[in-house]
Amino acid sequence: MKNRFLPIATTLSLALPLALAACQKAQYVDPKGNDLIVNADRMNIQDWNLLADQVVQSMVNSGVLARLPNQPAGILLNPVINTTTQQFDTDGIMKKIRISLLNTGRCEVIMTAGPGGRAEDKIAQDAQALKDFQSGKDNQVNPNNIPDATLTAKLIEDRARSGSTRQVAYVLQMSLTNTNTGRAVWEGEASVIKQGQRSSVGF
Amino acid sequence: MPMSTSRLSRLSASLACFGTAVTLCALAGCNTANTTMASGPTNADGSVPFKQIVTNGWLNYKANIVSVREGIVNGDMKRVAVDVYSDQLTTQRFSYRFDWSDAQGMPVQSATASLTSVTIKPKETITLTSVAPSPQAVQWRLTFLDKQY
Repeated sequence: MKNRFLPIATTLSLALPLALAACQKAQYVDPKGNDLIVNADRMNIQDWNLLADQVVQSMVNSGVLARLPNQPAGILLNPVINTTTQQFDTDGIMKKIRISLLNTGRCEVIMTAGPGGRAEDKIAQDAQALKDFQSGKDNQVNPNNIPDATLTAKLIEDRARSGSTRQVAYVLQMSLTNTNTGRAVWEGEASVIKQGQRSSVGF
Repeated sequence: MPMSTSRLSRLSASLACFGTAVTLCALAGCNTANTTMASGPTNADGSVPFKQIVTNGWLNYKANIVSVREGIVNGDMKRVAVDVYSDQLTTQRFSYRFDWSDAQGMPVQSATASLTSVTIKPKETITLTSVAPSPQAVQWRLTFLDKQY
C-alpha cells in the first residue's frame, strides 16, 4: 500500500516547488519610471541619476563649459572620494556625468593619461605612444594628454533618526578646475534625501 | 407610477457597480500623466506658448503650469524653465520628467534623465528647469505624474 502512494508523493514533492517557482513574479521596470525599489537606508540606482542630473544641469547652466580653453576641452576626472557607509562602484554616478558632458560637445575625456600616469585606456595609450614614436615626437609630452580642466568629486552621507522614521542624505560635491589658472571655475552640490521606515516601492 | 421590485434591484445594482468603480478609481488615483510641450517659437521676452494634454484633472490642480520660458546656454544648448502653481490648501507631491528630442522629433537620450519627486506647498509657485542634453536637442516634453507611494 505504501509503495503505491510513493510515486505520487514523490511527483507531488517535485512538482510543488516548480509550481511555486512558476508563481514567482518577475518583471522588467522602466529605469526612468516610478516603479523602482526605494530603500530608506541605502543608495538606489535612481539616486545616482538624480545626483548626476543635478550636477550636470548646474554645470551646463552656469555656462562655464563654453568658457573652458581649447574647445572641446580635454578633461580628466579624479577618482571619487566615497565617504558614505556604502561600498559601491562610484562609476555608477561618474559615468553618467561623463556621458552628459560628452553629449554637450564642449568636453572630451582624456583616456590616454591619468593620475600617476595610469591611463584609463591602456591600449589607446600604447597606440598613441606608437604614433608619437612614428612621428618622431616620442620625446615630448603629447599636448592632447594635458587636461584643460579637471573634475574632483566627493560623495558624503548624513543619517538621522526620529522615532521609527529614518532619514538618509547623500550629497555629491564636485569642482571643475581650469588647469591654465589652477582655479576652480565651477563648484556644484547635489543632494538626495530619503525618509522611511522600511523598503518600499515608489519614487 | 411605482417602480417594480426588479427594476429597483437593477438600479441599485447599477449604482453599486458605479460606486465601486469610482472608489477603485479614487484608490488607484487614476494616475494618468499630464504632458506639456512648446506650441510655438520663443517670444522676445523668452516666454514660450505651450500646449498641454491633461488627462488627470486632480494632478493639474496641484501642478498647474502658468508660464514657460526658454533660453540658450553655452552658445548652443537650449534650456527651459517651467513655472508650476499649486491651487491646493495642503502640501502636495508629484513627479516630473523632461524628455528631449531633435528638430525632426527623434528622441535625444540623456544619461541622467529621471523621474524627479517634488513637494509643493499650498498656493506656491515653483520653477522646474532642464537643460538640453546636447545641442541637437531642441524640443522638450514635460511629463507630470501623481505621487502615489
